[in-house]
Amino acid sequence: MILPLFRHELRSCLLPTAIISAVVILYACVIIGMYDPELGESLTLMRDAMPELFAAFGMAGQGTTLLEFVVNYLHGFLLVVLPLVLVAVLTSRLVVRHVERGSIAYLLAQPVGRTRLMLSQACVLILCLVLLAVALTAFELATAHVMFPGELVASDLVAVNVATFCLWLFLSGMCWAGACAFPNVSAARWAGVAVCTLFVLVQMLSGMGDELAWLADVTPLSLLDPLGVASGEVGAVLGTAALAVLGVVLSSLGIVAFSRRDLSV
Amino acid sequence: MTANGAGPAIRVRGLTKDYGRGRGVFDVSLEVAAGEVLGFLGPNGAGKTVTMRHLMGFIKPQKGMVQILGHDCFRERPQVQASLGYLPGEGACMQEMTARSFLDLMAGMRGMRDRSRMLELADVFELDLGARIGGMSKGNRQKVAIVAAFMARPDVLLLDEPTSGLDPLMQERFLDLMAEERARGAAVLLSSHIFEEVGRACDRVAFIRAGRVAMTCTMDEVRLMRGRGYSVEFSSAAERSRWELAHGAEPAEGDACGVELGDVRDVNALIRELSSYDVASVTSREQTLEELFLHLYEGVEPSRQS
Repeated sequence: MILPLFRHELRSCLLPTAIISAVVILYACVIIGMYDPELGESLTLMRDAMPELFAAFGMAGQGTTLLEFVVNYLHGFLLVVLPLVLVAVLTSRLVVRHVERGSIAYLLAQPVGRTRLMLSQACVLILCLVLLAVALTAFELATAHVMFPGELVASDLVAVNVATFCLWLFLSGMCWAGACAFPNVSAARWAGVAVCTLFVLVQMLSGMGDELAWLADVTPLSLLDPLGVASGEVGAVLGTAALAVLGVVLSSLGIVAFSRRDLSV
Repeated sequence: MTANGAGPAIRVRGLTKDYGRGRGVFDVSLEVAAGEVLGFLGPNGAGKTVTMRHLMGFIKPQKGMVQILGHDCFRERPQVQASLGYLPGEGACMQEMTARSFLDLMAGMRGMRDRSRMLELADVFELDLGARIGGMSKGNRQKVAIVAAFMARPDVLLLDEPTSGLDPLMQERFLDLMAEERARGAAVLLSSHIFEEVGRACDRVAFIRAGRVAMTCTMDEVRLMRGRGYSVEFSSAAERSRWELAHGAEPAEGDACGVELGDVRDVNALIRELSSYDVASVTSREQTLEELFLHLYEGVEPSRQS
């Protein structure tokens, strides 16, 4: 890590992280608040009226516990898409913008090496995602404790959010690899985001009917099973770990590509 | 001067990078010793910046060798950049930062604790360190780039159009700084379009055209090669026209009654010729570097290759 650069980049990334965190936390608190049995019945009625739409957004079943409710209504879609937006913004700030503006020439003119430089930048991205995960977990626990004392087991929620964080690592790896490897600025900015969005869309389609249900298994997103992780299922834990490993491998490949490529800056 | 103290500080041998359609650099060879300033001249797109990028380790050579202080510029980038100051051709500092925070960041990444040289240079160039770079004029942004390149007292300096945007006073201060660095023993590669700057700052000059080094010579050799320029004022426009008709189809430079002769080697022949015209006055001056190198810019084969 290059501490002066890390500090500077972290400062510049805190605002977008705070904005996305605020939106995610707001949604999380609202959804926890919706765990009211009467509202739950209304949601069940809505879900029965529009089962495909609810399934498309990863909200197939209400679940019997607060944790299941939260996972169904939050982790299937919102906690994939909103962090993906954050990852796209931060990757653009940390890699693509420097190449686009030419300021990478100044960074590379310092005796730090490209690998170390990109590792330092990647650390900023990971730390921002950790901050998002920690803030989200803290607010979820606090809201659940105030509104439904004793309904949410803290360790289970932490396990669910750690699993979700592994998915974020995978999304980061996709975007980071694209940002580092592609010489064309537009491709660098959007390639990873486009592939991740495609995965999300395919997963949404898989919930639209029995004929398309097989699509659920064709994207890496299917490796995520937060409730399975919370209940300690080996398959779910391995799937989640695979997502994290894929994310790290993709990021590393991106950094290796960046170290070897020509930079016309 | 290599890492172990022998040989040139900058060494480029047979560098080739072919981007297709004649773009790139082909078999470029250059050497710059410690305490020497090499001017790098050439038209736009001739390959100056591509050569600089190779020296910075931004680009991997297709063929050839690019070394600074004995280190390969692409494979041993951190070792090279530890002794290198770079001034990019386009001011691409981080726009959202103030000059001070940007320079502090660069110094921090370099592991520089002593900021005295940075403050000294900011003072010399009258740079407002508290101003945001994005709100600065081109000249002030260039000052930030100059301070960033020189503040670590590097052994080797790569400067791409360093005085672009600077006013004459600051250009003068920059030339003083160059003289100071040369005296300190820094090896400098100076890419420029400003002939006067090259003439004053450089020990040698390399001219690159269409990706190939067309000519390398010392400034002493350049001075010997320089002819004299003459301004001839005829007594009338008709007399000027008669002279012009006798000298081919192309119109001569100069005003209604006068002509400018850029490169005159045989003064006696000129005097003999002018004796058959009604001449009001003749004044002479040294040929400018621009006039000397103009034939290279225009694509005429060089008269000298070394």
